[in-house]
Amino acid sequence: MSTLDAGPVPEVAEAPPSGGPATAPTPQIPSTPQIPPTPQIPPHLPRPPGGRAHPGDDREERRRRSPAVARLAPPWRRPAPWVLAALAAGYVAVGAWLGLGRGAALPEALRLTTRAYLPLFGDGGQLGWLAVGWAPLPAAVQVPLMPLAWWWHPFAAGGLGATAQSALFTAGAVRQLHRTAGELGAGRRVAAAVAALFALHPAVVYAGANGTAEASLLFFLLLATRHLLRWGRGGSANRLAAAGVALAGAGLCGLPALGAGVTATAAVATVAYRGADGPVAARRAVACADALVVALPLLFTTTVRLLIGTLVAGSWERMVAIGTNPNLLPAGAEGASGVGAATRIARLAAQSAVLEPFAAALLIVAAVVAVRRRAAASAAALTILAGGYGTAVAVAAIGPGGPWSLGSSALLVPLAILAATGLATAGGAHPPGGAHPPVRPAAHPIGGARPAVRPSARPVAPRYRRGVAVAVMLAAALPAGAAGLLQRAVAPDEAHTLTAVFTLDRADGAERQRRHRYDTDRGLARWLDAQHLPPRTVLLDTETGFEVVLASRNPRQFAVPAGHGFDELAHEPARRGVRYVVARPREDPLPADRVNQAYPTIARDARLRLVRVEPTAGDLPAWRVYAVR
Amino acid sequence: MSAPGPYAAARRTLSTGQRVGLAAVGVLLVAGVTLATTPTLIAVVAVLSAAYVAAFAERLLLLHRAIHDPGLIVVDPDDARACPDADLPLYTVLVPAYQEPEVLPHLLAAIGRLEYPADRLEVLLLLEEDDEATYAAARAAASPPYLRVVRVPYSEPRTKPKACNIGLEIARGDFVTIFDAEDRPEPLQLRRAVAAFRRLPPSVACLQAKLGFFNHKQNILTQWFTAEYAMWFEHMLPGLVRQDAPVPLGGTSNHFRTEVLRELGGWDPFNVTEDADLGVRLYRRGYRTLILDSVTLEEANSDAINWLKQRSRWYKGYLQTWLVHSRQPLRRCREMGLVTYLRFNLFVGGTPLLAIINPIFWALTLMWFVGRVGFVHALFPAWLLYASLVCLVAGNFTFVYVNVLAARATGLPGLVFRSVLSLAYWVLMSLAAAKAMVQLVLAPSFWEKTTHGLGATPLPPPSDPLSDDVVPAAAVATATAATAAVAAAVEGPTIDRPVAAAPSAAGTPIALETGSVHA
Repeated sequence: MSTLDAGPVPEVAEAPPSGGPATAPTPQIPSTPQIPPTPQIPPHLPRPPGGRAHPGDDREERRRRSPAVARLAPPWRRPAPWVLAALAAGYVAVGAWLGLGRGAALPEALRLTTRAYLPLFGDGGQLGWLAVGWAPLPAAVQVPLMPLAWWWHPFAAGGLGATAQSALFTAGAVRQLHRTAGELGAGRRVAAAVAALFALHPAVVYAGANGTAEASLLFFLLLATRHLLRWGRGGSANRLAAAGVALAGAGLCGLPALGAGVTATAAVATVAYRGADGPVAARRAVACADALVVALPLLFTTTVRLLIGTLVAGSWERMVAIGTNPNLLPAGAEGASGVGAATRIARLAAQSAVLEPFAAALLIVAAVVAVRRRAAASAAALTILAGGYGTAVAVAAIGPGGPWSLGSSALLVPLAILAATGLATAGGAHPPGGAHPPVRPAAHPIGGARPAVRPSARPVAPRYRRGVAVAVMLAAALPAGAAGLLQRAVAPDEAHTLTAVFTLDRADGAERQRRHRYDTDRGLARWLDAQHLPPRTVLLDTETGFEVVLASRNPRQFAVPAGHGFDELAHEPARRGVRYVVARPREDPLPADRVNQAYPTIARDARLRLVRVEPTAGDLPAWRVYAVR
Repeated sequence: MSAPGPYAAARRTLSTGQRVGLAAVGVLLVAGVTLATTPTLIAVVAVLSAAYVAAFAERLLLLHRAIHDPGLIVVDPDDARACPDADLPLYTVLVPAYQEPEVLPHLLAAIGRLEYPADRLEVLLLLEEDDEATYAAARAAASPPYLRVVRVPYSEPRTKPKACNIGLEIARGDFVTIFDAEDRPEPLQLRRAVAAFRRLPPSVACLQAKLGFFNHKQNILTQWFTAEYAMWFEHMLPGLVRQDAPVPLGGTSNHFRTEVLRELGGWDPFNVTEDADLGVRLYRRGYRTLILDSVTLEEANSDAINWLKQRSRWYKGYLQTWLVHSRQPLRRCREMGLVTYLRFNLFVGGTPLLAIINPIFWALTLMWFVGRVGFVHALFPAWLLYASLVCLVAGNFTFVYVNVLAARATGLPGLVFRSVLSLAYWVLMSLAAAKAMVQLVLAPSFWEKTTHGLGATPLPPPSDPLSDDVVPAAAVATATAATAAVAAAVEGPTIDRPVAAAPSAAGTPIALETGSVHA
């Protein structure tokens, strides 16, 4: 709708009809030309006799006349597709170089690929396995890509499928950040600069290249942030719903989304309550309704996913174990139980410091400015990233996984960048495109009839000087982040993987062996393939032996632990035709390692006979192959 | 009136070709179940799942389009009022009513509030011949100069479209619209429609105003109904407009160019959702329907039994419409285009189809998870199981969430929480769909009356003055002519119309006479 009907329509409305936090009508923008009193007409209508197009027949004309379109989607804010494609290609190239060229594919990435690979290539089509763990979506989106492995096997075995998904999601995240910066009032150059700072941040590049779920989480949380920002600035309930759906998508990509959902819901309720008119009960009803709209999709997807995941995994404990299984920690790394809370917190602080050295200062100042200027909508939108970051840090601080990876703190990067963008544009706030006055001046009062953006009494500093300072602070994150990736004390996971790639002379023994980790798996796969085994005759835990499965040319030989018959096979292997059991024996079997759980004393099991110890040049224990007697 | 073409009428539920096709499918099914039971059942489940997925995807697409740009026809109030009274065309309002004595005064009051000059307005109150109660209520109410009461003679089928066709025959307006007896149209609606029609191309023959409910607070059923209507008129129909697909019209507040409506032969009297059928026929003839941003408030059904009657009639009518326009699929494809024809099938056919299929899948799911019934496992091989499960879960959640969103868009936060429970509403819908299927076989054109007046009304009592244009009750009904068989009386204090005869829907002549309602 392009015009507002203020006539005596017998509306049934008791509260804001658009679903936004304001009860006042959508504000008219003074600088927007009045729309001629012509009805909007869909462009597809048949033309009247004579062939002349009827009014509104032209889509561009309709776009030009629509203030909503002019206000919310200026053409400059849409990066050219080739930029995004180039970004994605760059991330893929980095990922391919690391994975195929340097043997630095991450286990988490290969595990995600295995889940997408098995339904197509394995025995039994275990699509339900996708729902197990905390990140089913990054695995699910690889399913359509997996047929490429028919003609180029390394696409799956080398982790390129996972890299493709993370690269695309990261490019999408850059686009969302670029557009969000525009929503915050950044001009064309500023938005492009902050997007570039984000896209080139080492942690972001690594997230785009390493094939894990971090990239998808970044994308969905930034998408939710942008929609929530637009809702807070006078968008309809549809924006709120879009933010909710994006949060649901994030919920399928990682645990931090739950925290983001909680903080976003609280922020939405607060903004809606403060913006609503009427008695307390009516304001509370509006707040609860808006909170429900934003929270419902995440609540639903999380519930359903956990339900299905528990059913497929067999138990809640196992489902949780798979989600947080630290079974492939760097060899020789300290166990989770060996690190005290103080050490964890100190490491998390160090991680945050290397990712964004000035994050603390930027966030504090941005919060103060937001409070002073009553920029509740912007602050509410950024709570999504803050909630996600807080949850990731909390899980790393108290969970069994521990703060091994910079990924725990990666959400700090977009949070600091957007907060800095808000700071750089504060005071001279203007809506996207720079052509209009504030989007919601007085018509969207927060807590009364106060303007959403209060002009500062005195200019703190010229905007360009502030912008330069902010840019310098953000730019400092690039070298700091790159250095942090290689520091064992800060990022053990990344350092273990990347030190031998970038600074071979500094690498210790385990780090040098890391690049040969999957050679063992591939050797075992070749040996098994040479046996020409029928389907479901090899018991192997695919959550730990993923690369064996991906490297095998006969993946149907593996009985997938997700299958309903796995326990029966393990219980009576000889009777049910099992030929080999493959495991890395452990003193304390991981809860997610189904083979070691089925055979807790595998070395002394009378039903099995050790026939092969796969030679290993890598950093993990050797695979042992037991033949069924 | 000129009857609809032989393939446009719902007089016959199925054409010969459809009967043959249905019989062939039945024979194939029986043979398949007999010879290869499991594969046949798997095929049936796969086909149903595919239909479910397609209908669900179509609705998601509609939602996306509507959210992106609803394409409503918006006429500013000042613009609507800008036209001088003298330049406004004569507008005919058809009010078909049957056994509505309680709500009729409210409708007359609402019509009295229309900002349209009385001398440019013609309201035809279409009453069945045996409906003495409503007739008496009409006589007792204030009698504005534009009101004429038309007595519709008895003939089968006794449906609203048949009465509307009679009204259309005698309508004098350049534009015509329909209001139900319980309707509360927005006062500027006619002016907005006129302003829009004048600026729109002639190919736009119909403007559908949005419908809402005034008794949404009455109980949970009216709340669900309100949210559903919001979804329908805020998302589904605008989405269809954006797709350039046929728009199944809502029951009332659809505004037409009179000559186009006559050209099409009016409404199909045998179709119990004649409005949906008319929307498709308009599209087939190259005309388009747009959504007018103006609201008419109606009374939501507050009684479950009454709701089931109404909803089963709607589903039956959608099935009728679907069957009628599926009789010559190749010809329809040429008329509409392949994609549009598929969309028509997915939307008009898919609406009752989803309601029918949904409980079947839920039942199978429950049987599997609760009882681990073996044959359910056999029916769903892995590829079908996952597709069906995702579709079922995502489809049902989408249904609930779209309701929540539509409820929020109404500006009634209380509705949002009720909408979360709207899965229970779908149970009712499924019941209604099952009833519709049975009725489609046993009584395809039977019009189950929806009882109105069960909810509270926000309007002032009917004794309030209608408007300045109301003529005091001064005239007396003068004449009552009757033909040998049936008669219709057209009464109005200011209309000087000679007695004339016009064919009824059933081909029976009806008598028209002048006079006044009031004594």
